[in-house]
Amino acid sequence: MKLEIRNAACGYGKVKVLENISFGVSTGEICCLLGPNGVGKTTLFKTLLKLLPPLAGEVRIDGQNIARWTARKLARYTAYVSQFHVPPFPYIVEDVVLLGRLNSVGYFGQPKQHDYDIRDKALADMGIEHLRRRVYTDISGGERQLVMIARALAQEPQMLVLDEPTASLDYGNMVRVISQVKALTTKGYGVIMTTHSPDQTFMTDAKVVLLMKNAPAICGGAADVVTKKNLKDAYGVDVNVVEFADANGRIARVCAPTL
Amino acid sequence: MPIGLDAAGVPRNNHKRYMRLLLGGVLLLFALSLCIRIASRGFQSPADVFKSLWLWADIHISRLTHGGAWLNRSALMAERGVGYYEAYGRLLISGVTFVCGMLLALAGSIFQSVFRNPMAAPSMLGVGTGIQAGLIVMALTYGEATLYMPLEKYTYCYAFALTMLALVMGVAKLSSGKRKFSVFDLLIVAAIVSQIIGGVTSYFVYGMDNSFALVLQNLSNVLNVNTEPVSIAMLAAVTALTVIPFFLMRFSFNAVCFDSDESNSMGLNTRVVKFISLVLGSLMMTAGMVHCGAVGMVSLIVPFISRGLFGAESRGLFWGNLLIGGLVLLLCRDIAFFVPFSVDGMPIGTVVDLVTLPVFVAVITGRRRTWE
Amino acid sequence: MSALDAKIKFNIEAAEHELFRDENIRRKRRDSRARTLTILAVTGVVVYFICLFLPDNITVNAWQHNLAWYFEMTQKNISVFFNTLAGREVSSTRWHISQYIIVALVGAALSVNGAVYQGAFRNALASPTTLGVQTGGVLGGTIYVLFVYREPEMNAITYALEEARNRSLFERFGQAFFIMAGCFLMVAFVLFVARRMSGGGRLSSIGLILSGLVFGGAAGSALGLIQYYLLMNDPEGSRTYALRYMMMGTFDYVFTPLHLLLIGAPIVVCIAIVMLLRRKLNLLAFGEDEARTMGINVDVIRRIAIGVSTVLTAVIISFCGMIGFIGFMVPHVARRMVGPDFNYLIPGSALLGALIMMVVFHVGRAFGLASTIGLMTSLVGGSIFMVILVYYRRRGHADWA
Repeated sequence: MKLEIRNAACGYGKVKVLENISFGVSTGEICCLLGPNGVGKTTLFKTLLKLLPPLAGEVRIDGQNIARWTARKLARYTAYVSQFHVPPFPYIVEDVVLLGRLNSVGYFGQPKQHDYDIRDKALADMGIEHLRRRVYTDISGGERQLVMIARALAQEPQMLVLDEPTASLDYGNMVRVISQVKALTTKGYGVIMTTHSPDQTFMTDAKVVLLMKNAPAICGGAADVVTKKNLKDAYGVDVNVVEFADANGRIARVCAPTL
Repeated sequence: MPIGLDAAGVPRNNHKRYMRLLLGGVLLLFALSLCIRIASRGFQSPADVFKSLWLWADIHISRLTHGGAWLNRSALMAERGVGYYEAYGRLLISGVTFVCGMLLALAGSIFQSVFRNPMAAPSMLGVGTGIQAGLIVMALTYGEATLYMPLEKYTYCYAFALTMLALVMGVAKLSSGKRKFSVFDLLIVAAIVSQIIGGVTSYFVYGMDNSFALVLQNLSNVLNVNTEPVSIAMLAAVTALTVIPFFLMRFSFNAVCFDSDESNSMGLNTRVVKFISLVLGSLMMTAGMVHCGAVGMVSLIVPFISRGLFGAESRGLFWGNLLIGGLVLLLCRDIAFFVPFSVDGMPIGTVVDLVTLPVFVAVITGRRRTWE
Repeated sequence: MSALDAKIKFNIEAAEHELFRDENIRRKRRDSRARTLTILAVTGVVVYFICLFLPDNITVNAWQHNLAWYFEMTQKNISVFFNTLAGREVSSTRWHISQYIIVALVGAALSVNGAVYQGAFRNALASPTTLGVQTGGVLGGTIYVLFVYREPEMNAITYALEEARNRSLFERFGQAFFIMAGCFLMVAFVLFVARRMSGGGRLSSIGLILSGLVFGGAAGSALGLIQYYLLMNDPEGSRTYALRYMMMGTFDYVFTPLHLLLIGAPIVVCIAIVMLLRRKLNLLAFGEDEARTMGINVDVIRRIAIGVSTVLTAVIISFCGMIGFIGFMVPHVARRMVGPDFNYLIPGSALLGALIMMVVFHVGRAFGLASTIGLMTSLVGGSIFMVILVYYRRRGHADWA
């Protein structure tokens, strides 16, 4: 499956927030959206998910314009995980994950054995089977994020749309979530995510869309897009992009701001 | 530590057992509740209890002997004497009470899910107040005849309930501006409105000639339950209309706990579901309060109890609410019968308030603070 | 004054200066606060006389009235007033003279109560009405009427003073004690539950309001039960009326100079105590920890402030019944007029409250609703409450959630 956005302009009502955005993501790829606060990352996400109509251009899945798709049809292709979700009631983790089946079960249906199997598989895929009987509101932020991604997987999509999956997570949890996300691509899912940390684009070896204020967005591989110059243009700060080899001789890159 | 969780905070997997226990409790209480004779103030002697039980059973036997047809009440009275009629009436009253409890609890749970806040029960959001206002207007218009006008009562109360809900939500929406809709504003506005309505009520209670009728109405005396066939039929119709949709949607109703973006991306349109839920939930609340009086607190408390026992997932919660709601209201009505407050026992509204108050204080001072 | 005291005083003044600097500069330019207070005071006096002179029975034979009638009545009222003062005539106007002063004092006391509650609880929504304290007081008084003293009067204190001089002190003032006990119990319950709910730290608004709602609701349902019982057993009895006057709020039973003395003395004393605490309330309103680091015993100050206001609430209930929402609404309006500084806020809300109460009472009497003043104030106040809520929230003030 390939999700493409072509010459799109996004915004609320008549206010254009972003213009002339084009990029595509296929299954097996990770695409990171980078950009300063208020540049319109969330708006772009809402347009991708058909929560907002595009003001110009179009969003295509496998070459078909999704403008006339129903929400249920779209939900078979993409699954969305919002930034931080806390259900107001003490749900159990496995029940939360089962809710991913809502799309195929429908308004008046009940989950069948098949749906429970898919739930178990999603839990196993995210490596959180030990959490299955815990109360969702009691577990840690990183665990919660993994649960929400498992919920998205239970929807059986081909593309996951993650809004800042590592926001407000501590360092260990952040690395854990990102490594799980990266593992998903090897299982054949496509991932689109926003992030505030350019390092994560290197960690996941992602395709990057760098959104900028008052300038066209830049698309390309992480190594090409996340450079000192581009980061200066986008964020207005000086950042060194450092390349090093770890103990096993693997090449890795990090961003190091100089103050 | 909430009930239903073990020491590690992991829910025990014994919902089925709870359900069976609860069902047994409901049946027992229902049987006991049938025994309490309608005209008496509580048990008179154990012999009376058995006599009532026997009478009740005899009605069913007589139903069989009459070719499976239910006897109408006058025929029953003529053939078997007044005692049968009392037992029969008691059966109806207990049934109506149980169904009202079910409806109230379900309405509470629905509202809490829709507003995503455990405090947002319909009795806290002005729906209960609206129903009371409807009753006042009816009593002003029709006087004591109000007691025998089920259809009009429904119409007035439902209209006022929806109006009040719209008013409260409108003011809260206005006050939240562009920010997120705040449940807290809803609570405050509803509290103020209900204080004003309370003032107006007490003005009319003292000022009107037929103040008795209004007081009876308002505080829902135990004799207030109308067992006319029309009334029972209305209750049955409303129950079918409101409970069946939520029975069918008991799994997908979980989706309203997600925000609208998330549930949209899951392919469900929760705006429609929420709208229908509010409309039907208000109807449930109306039915419960029209038949049983000012017992709105049931809708706030019961969802807490059933969430503690059955977890937050709405399939278990659906059954739990139905059972526990009916149980609690039946219990309150029986307490109301027992307490020798006046010839008619105690007003059930007060019993409900006093029984639920400790539960509520325990909930809001408890460890899990999820309402914020 | 010891060196430490001097230092504390200096600290407080410095902090106040800091806290209100912007506000002060803005205000000083217009030099408006003192002027506003003067204007309010003058308006209050004018309104007092207008209330006395304008006809207050316009619903009687209303179809016969025209403009000339109003002039005639006003003229008559004025002449009666001066004749009464000079002792040349005896008419009901002599009652009105002290009754309107009582009304003004009660309005002032209610508003100061609201301001103090808001400052001491550090919460824009706190007031004796919203926290259910008034309902608790009425419940206490009703319990006295029901169980302790079985032959009560419409207004226990009034009656006891005028017609039952041979009764014991407890019989005379028992109801007032019970009302006070009810108020204090309610404050204690609400505070306890709100503390538990907010788990230490700043009292959360939702905790306060919810526990006020719950306990007020419980007291209300107990009142309903008693009301039901009384209406069943003696619908025309004096106990029913005793409950009625407390629930509805009325000035019908307080009009003599003796009443004025009895009500006025505690109100003046309590307002004076509050005025003494005004600077500390200022600091309390802006932050407990800051106040604590300046060497102020926050808990004592808060307890005194809440205690004094609660006594005041109880006094008003025992004389005039439950008069809701004045205490909630007036401080908000006063804050718009004179700013949040308690130096000005307390006199400001007192004057404004007196003004509003007199107007409401006069209008109520003119339309024959004098015995339901409490209902009128909650209708008017409740509506204004919603306007205030919308106004503040839209402008992003008052993060009371």
